[in-house]
Amino acid sequence: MTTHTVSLTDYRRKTSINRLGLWLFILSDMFVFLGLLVARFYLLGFQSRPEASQIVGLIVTAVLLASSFFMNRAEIAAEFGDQKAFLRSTLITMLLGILFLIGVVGVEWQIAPFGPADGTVGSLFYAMTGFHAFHVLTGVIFLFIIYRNGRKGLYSAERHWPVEAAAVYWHFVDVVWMFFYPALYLIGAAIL
Amino acid sequence: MEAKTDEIMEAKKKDAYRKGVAVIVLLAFLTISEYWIGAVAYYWWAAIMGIAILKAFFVVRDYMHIGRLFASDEEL
Repeated sequence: MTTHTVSLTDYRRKTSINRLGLWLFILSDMFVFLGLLVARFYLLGFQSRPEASQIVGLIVTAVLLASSFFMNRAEIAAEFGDQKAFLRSTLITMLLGILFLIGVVGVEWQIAPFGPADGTVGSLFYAMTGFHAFHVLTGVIFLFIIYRNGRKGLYSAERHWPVEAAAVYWHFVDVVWMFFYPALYLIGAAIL
Repeated sequence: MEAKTDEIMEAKKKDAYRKGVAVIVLLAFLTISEYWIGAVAYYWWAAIMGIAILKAFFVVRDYMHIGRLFASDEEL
C-alpha cells in the first residue's frame, strides 16, 4: 500500500480554490434568501409584519449570535492547534444551534396565532423561518461531522479547511437571520 | 528561537480571541439597539435595516474572514 501525503503548499493552494468555491455557493444561496426577503416586503410592505412572539424572537436571535461567537472561537482554536478548545467550542456551537431550532420550530411555530396556510402572512413567516431553520439543521450536521473528525485528530494547525468551511457556513446562516429577524419581528405593526 | 516563535503564536492567538469578543459585544449592542428602535418606532425601517447591514458587515469581515479570498497563500 502506498501513502500519498499532500504537501503543505499544495494543501494551501487547494484550500484557496475551495474557499472561492464555498463563497460562490454562499452567493448563490444568498439569492434564495434575498428572494424571500423581497417577497416579504413586497407582499406585506413596511407597515406590517407577522404577529410573532417578540420575546422568542429576541431569545433565538441572541442564541444564534452567541453560537457565532463560539464558532469563531472553535475556528481560532483549530488554527492554533488547540484541540481541546476546538472540540469544546464546536460542541457549544452545536448545542446553541439545536436550541435555536427548538426556539423557532418547537416554540415559535407552536404559539404563533396563524398557520402556514393562513394567507400571505402565514405563508411568508413559515417559508422564511422554515427555510432558514433547514439551513441551521444542515449547519448542525456539518458541525457534528467536524466535531467527530476533530475527536479522531484529523485536523491540525496547518490543515483544518473543513473547520473553516463549517465556520463560514455557520456565520452565513447567522448573517441571514440578521436580516430575517428585523423583517419578521421588528419592522411594521403586527397583523394576523 | 523556538520559545520566541511560541510567544508570537500565543500573542496572535490572544489577539484573535480578543477580536472575537469585541465583535460579539458590538453585535449585542447593535441587536439591543435595533430591538429598541423596533419597539418604539417600527416605521423606522431604514434605521433598523441599516443596523442589520452593519451587523452583517462585521460578521462577514471579522468572523467569515472575507479578506482571505483576496490574500495570497503567503499572506495567510
